[in-house]
Amino acid sequence: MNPWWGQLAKEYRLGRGGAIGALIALFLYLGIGVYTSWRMGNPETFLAFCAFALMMHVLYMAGYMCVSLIREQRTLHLWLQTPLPAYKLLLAKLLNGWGALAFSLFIISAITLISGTMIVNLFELNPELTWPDVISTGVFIEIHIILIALYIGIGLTFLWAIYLVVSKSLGKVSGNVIGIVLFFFLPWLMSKWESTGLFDALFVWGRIDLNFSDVAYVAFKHVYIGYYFYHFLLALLLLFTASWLIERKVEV
Amino acid sequence: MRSGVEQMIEFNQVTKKYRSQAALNDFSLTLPHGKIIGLVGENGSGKSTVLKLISGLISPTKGSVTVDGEPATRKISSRVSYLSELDAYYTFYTVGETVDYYKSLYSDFNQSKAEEILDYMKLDRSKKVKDLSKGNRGRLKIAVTLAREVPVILMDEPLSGLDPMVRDSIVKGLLSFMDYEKQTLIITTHEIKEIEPILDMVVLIKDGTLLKVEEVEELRIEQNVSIVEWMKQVYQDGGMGK
Amino acid sequence: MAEDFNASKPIYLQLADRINRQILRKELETGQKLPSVREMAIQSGVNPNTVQRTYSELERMGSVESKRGQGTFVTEDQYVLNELRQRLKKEQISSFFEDMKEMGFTEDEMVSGLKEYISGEERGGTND
Repeated sequence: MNPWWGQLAKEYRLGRGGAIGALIALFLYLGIGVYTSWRMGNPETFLAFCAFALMMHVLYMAGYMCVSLIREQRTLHLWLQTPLPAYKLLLAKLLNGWGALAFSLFIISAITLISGTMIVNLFELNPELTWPDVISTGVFIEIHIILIALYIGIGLTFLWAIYLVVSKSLGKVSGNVIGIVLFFFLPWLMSKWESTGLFDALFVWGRIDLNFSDVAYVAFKHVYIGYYFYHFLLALLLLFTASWLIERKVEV
Repeated sequence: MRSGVEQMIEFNQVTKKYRSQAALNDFSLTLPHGKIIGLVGENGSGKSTVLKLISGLISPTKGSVTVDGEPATRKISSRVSYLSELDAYYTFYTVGETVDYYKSLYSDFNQSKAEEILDYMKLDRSKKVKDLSKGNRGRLKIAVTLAREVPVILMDEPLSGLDPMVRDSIVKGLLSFMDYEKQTLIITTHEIKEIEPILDMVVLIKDGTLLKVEEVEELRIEQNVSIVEWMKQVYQDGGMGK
Repeated sequence: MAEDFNASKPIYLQLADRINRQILRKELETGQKLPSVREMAIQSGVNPNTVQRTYSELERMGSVESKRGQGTFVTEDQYVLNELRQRLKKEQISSFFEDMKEMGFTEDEMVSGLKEYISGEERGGTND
């Protein structure tokens, strides 16, 4: 086994407990959904529970990375002593988190789909709805959940790296303050920047029209490839900066 | 194959500050190949800082630290095996899995040596790390650190918290399992008496500055003193000088 | 062999002394191979470089001989062994003598004391 596989296996073990915990929580939540739905005598309520759980998966990676990084922080010197470059250390975590996300997402999607076609028959409720509609809408949503989840996970990793650097050089309180300030300030800064003309000129290109039928509940009629490209670059930049900080600036 | 002339670890006017407090101050030191070196001094004198700098876990505020001419950054872990004073492990692993993990990480990790050390230390491979006694966790830490075939092995307080019988067997273990012709071992410890007979050199630091470096056997020949006696003398002289 | 060494005296000399005594007591026989430096270091719990120095010192004294590529052996030269025996005797006596002199004993007192001690020791031995 080479270091990369060894590290992946280690992250699997480190994250496994948390991932199983999250699954149990998901089932408990769905149990509550079943109960509520039964009490209200309304099967559609359960479907709403499912849809909410599905959407909440955008925060899955953030939660996973939070648990993983906080556990890692207790034995930080072991992590930093490994011969792997920092970006691989982070990738090992992200990939494992992604795997756990995919697994959890698959389960909730399957349950949603089953309850949407069997318990509540959406096709009966809406005769115009077709299977291709369901599949294309589903795939569109799933892909975006996965991408957004990863994105938030990377953002959180970036904040963690900054927290480690600041808390070592200025103290834990400062680390927390700066982390929280950045958590609110950076998204604000980004939304400002994204509403500028320069941003439009640079990244609003490659329009793709989405041919979802009106019955599919999708608010988007088109997307821009440039916009994805922009977020891809931003994610890379965050990951690169986090790696660099861990490689060079984080101390134990 | 030994040569005392080659300098392998070098501190060049190193200052290390944590926030505004200096842990090391204008610290210069060169250490040769193939020696067992004791790093001694009071609590908070900067011993751990010295080891962390060599291992690349921290970087100097000023000056430079090199191992075989290469700056000690994180990448130096390919040449340096470091044992932390912290009682910190991946508790979800068993003893055997911990060894496997290290084996996967380091190409220089000698599996059979690790197994031998586990046997010597009487560690049960199937036991979970979180269920080990503190003494056994300490031994496991030593086993995985010592099983790497690297030029430099650093051990920060490997004997602390262990009872005297165990300490004795670990000191013997160090002699049995390290390759003294190729490896340099640097140990910080409060249990000086126990490691005294196995040391080549002793480095004494106080308040983040280097007080003295001596060949241990020369101390005994020239001054008829043990390390502990010598330490007291130098500390007193150092105190008066200030 | 794991007795502690005196930490304020050169260990290489203490170890050399121990080995010499073992040779005289025939615990190490003439021509016998000494443990390798590494083994000796582990056995006696001292630094390998110190053991190396001990072996060099023993070689210088003549009590051992190192054969290239084979190791270190106790000398078979009876003359050297005899000399070693005489030297250790002389050393022991001289340190006894110096100590006694320091405490103000006369030479006659030392000799008679020693004789008395030996005969007392023998009496004690037969009474057992």
